[in-house]
Amino acid sequence: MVDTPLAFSEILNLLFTHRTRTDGTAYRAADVARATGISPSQLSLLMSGQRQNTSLETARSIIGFFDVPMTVINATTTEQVVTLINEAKDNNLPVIHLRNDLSRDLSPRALRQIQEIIEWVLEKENAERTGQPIPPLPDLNNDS
Amino acid sequence: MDTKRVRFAVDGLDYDWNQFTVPHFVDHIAHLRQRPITMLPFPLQDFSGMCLSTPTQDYIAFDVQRHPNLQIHTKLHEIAHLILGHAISIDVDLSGDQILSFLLHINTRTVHRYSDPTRIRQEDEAEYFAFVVEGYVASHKRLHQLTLTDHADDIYLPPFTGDAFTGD
Repeated sequence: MVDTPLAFSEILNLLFTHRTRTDGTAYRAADVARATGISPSQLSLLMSGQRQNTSLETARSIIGFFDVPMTVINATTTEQVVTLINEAKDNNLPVIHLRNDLSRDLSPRALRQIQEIIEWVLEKENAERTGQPIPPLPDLNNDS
Repeated sequence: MDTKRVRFAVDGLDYDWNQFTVPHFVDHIAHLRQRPITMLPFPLQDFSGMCLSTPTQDYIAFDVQRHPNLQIHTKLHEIAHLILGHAISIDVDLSGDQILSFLLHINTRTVHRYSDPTRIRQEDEAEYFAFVVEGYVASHKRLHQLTLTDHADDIYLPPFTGDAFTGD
């Protein structure tokens, strides 16, 4: 028997439940809508399951907001989705913790980018101090 | 928003607007602050720019996916945060035994509506700073410099004489 992927609405609701802000509160559909340009009504239809299908571009935008690999759309069980979400959380660099008042409005994807920029700055200044070559700029386009 | 404070800050830059190009202006700010400013072009997601001050240097990241005019505006906006002292102190824990304090400001205005009055005021002030600068640039007939990329300063556009139409 072939496993069928979870409905996109289920994946979407798992993302909202498990991929929270740094203070543990859930992102709102309005946050995703503003960041991705997807209309709140379309998001609402997708979350409720009233709309089952969406374009790959829309799915990529939403999943990109949560900074989770695109392979999540192939997940066949809730556990697989949660595992991918937790792996994405672990991949977000834990070295730099932004205060809640700074990070609250930021998507997981934006937080990762900011952390990578700060890390690069640290490496660059360390290289300057020690006479080492300046490291290349990070590739922030490494969305899955 | 304290527009007088912002105008005072722009006037306090003591800048020769006749010389304005974006790199020249950035160099002037770096000279005033006595620390280098590094511009970081990145494909940013869900935020349009940020400025970061380490103990010795300033960094401005901006989104290269946006229109070049908006990239320039973002640079001016982020410079405003540096000049107006809007950045927030963050501590970075390095391998547990070293802590660095940075000043950081992240601009998410294009994707979020702020509810915090302080953030709203800071963003309004930075926008006003950029508009005042752009106004000075325009009044000194340097408006075209706000439409050029960093590497287009050498482009020379000869004055229009109409010769091409008269065939003279």
